[in-house]
Amino acid sequence: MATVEVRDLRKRYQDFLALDGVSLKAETGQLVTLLGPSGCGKSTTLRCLAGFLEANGGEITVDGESILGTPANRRGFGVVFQNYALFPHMTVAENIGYGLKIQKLPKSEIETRVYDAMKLVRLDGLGDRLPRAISGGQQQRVALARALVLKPKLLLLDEPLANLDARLRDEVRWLIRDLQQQSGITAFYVTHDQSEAMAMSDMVAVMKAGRVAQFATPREIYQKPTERYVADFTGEANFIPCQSVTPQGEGRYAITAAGATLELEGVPGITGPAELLLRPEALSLTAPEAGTFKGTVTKSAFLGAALHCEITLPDGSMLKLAAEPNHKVRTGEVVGIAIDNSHAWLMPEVAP
Amino acid sequence: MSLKNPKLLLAIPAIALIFVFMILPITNMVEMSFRTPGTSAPFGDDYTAQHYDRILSDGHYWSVLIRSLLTAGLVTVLCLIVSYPIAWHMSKARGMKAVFLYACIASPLMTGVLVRNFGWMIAAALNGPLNQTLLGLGIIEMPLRLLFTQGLVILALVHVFVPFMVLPINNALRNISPTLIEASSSMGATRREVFRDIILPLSFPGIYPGMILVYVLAVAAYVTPALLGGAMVSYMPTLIIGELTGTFQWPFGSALAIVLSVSTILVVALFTALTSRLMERSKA
Amino acid sequence: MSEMTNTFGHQKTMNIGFGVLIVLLYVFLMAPLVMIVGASFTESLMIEFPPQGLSFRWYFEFFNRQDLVDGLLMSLRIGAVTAIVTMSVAMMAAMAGQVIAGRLSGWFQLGMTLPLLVPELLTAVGLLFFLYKIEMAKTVLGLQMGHILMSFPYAYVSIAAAMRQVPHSLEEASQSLGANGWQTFRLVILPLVMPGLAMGGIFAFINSFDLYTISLLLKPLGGNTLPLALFDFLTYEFKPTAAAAATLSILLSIAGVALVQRLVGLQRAF
Repeated sequence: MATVEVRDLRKRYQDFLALDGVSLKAETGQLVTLLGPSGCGKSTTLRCLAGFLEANGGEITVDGESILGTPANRRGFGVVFQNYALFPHMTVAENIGYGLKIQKLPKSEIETRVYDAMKLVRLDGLGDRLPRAISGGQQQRVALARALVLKPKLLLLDEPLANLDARLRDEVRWLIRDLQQQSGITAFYVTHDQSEAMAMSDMVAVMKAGRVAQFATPREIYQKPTERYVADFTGEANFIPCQSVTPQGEGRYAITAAGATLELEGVPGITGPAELLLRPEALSLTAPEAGTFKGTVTKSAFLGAALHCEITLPDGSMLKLAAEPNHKVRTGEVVGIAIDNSHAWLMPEVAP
Repeated sequence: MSLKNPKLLLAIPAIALIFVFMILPITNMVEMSFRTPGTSAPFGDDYTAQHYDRILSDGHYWSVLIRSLLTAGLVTVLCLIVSYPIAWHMSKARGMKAVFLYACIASPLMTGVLVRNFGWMIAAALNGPLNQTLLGLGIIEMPLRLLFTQGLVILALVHVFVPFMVLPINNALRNISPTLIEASSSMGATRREVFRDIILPLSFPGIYPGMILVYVLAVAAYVTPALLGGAMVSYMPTLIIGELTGTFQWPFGSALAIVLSVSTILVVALFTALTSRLMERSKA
Repeated sequence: MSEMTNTFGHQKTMNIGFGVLIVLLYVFLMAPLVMIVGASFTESLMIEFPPQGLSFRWYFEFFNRQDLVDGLLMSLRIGAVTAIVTMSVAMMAAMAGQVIAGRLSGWFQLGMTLPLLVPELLTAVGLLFFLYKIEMAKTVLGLQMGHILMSFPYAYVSIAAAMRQVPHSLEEASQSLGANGWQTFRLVILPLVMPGLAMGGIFAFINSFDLYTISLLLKPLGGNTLPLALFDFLTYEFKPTAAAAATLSILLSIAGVALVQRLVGLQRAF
């Protein structure tokens, strides 16, 4: 089991800077997710960890020792690929046993370990099938078993659920998390799906253009993002520009925004212009005079579990919120909006 | 059924061409091989199996047949050895470099066999480049007589067929996903193990058609042995053409051609049977 | 390539060794052609490489040799007819091939490439007897049919590949806009498959130009193609004139390669 640290990692392709100083840390047994849109450098970071790519600068250490000089085939990490990368000419059992065969273990030991691994991922009885003769979900589990059977120090997963349909995705997601926690393996997980990242990770690194925008727990990433980019990427978010910001001690501010005055927490040390982050679930509809804000309903749609409303405030900013489904609202109606202050958050306004 | 589609009629000229000028003639040749020898015409009016009897009971024909089959086998294997590194190198190339390498393969392919064999005649001359190189390297002390030897025939045949082997292997190698190589290296495989366990088996869908094509073409190659082999060593194709154009023994020549074809088919069938498991697994 | 340098660690010596091997293999591949071109410019009376001096005398000699020039003309003529006929027949066959579905389609493809898969020798022998039977033996027409047959698969494969790139919906779109079958073909399909069609023609022409065995068995009375004339010349005279003739043939194939690259790109063609 291992502690992994990435410090100031840099990678350049001709004229494109893929990694611009990435720093991360995974404690033993943690699952760290690299979250971001395509091209943000999350896969590149993972490939540097795996040893498929050579970094141009920075350092990667495992338990304090640098691994940059070690080629991929001697790092002893398990890798699960987006397209599974199962060997098409080998059966399920041969795929899982390949790494053990490379280690030249005795046949009987390979057999028992492959058998156990197949049982672990519920593939019993499929050992003789070729990869093309099993379903996508099963292929994904073969890939997982193949990586885990080698008892790796570190497990690297590159969008492992991207090619599965929604129902299977949920099932395999929990399987991955269960196996990772049971075995206590440190893991890095690359995804562009924020709900996956939220649900599985101990720590999330939200990446942006080759840098880590924020590295924190899923709760902090969602509730206390350091910048608008992070808030946007982790879920539905409303932003309201502030007219005035007065610091009230460490990480607390009194602000005026859209004609209302309120006191709330925010990113420490804001000096310049700031904006208010309001997640839809922090907002509720009230009578026009009872709310913190007053606005006009411009759009509403019944979504089953909730009533989706868009409300325009007097200053022109727009709020999206999820109201109770049986609430009666009409387009053009003036409503009040109540804010749950513990879910409001102040961030510095930076050019996106 | 789809036969109602009038567009299908457009296939008629092509089917007629292949049926009339290929299927019929080859069927006709089978019939010819059972004709009696002619006296004033190239063939007689009656039917007999005597030509097959003569070929199969004469050690000379057996030895020529076996020489042809073995030479073609050797050519095929040498071709594979020469072609694999070229195909590998080519499959990695992109952009203008790839275009250049394709041109290097395509130019010999599109140059006639006769012309390419003529190039080897120049190379193999007593004071030609081949001998000069061997002398220069100190491998030989006296120039060798290379022209009209079996070795030169084999060398020239390999040269003729390399592009036929390179192209399908190159395509197969290009179809191997790079993540498979990464996956196996992450499981601890060395470069050599990755090649043995992943790349070689997965390139078989290119190796197989390449080998079959080269073998079939090499067995029946006429120009190269005729030009570079001299009169000393005979191969089936030179024998067959000799019977047809020299002595005008059409039935006997046909029988020789059919014996050669059947043996080739048997070799191909044997090879296919031996490799069917690998092929079944490795095909995309 | 450089993307994977670290996967196995660095192995400089192995890379250099492999590089040397590749260079040697390409030398092997190109050497015969280079030697022919080189030998054609010699001043001496011997075919030799490296050439002695530099002259064009063997090219003049070539064009003064009636038998070789006749052969060249015959080859060009037969090649041109072969290209035109195979292009039309293959174009029609490829259109028919598009509407054949399922298992039958595979058999159709196989049938269309049959002349490529069966050894030339066998086809040539069969045709020799057959042409005799239908009283076309030793005629230019008989030889022409042999060349068309042998070159047809090259044209068909190129054109069929180009046809597969044209989405069926374009044809339906054209018809929905009021075009009839012929207009659709002329205004939509033909322009789109033109590069593939031209490439098929080039392949067919060059293949016909290079054919030897079938020409030997089917050659008309008093007519020789260039490869046949060249073979005889090599057997009896062996002068640098042959190198000049062969160089012209190599130039033709290089021109073909360049054209194919411009039309569809070599990587897609092979």
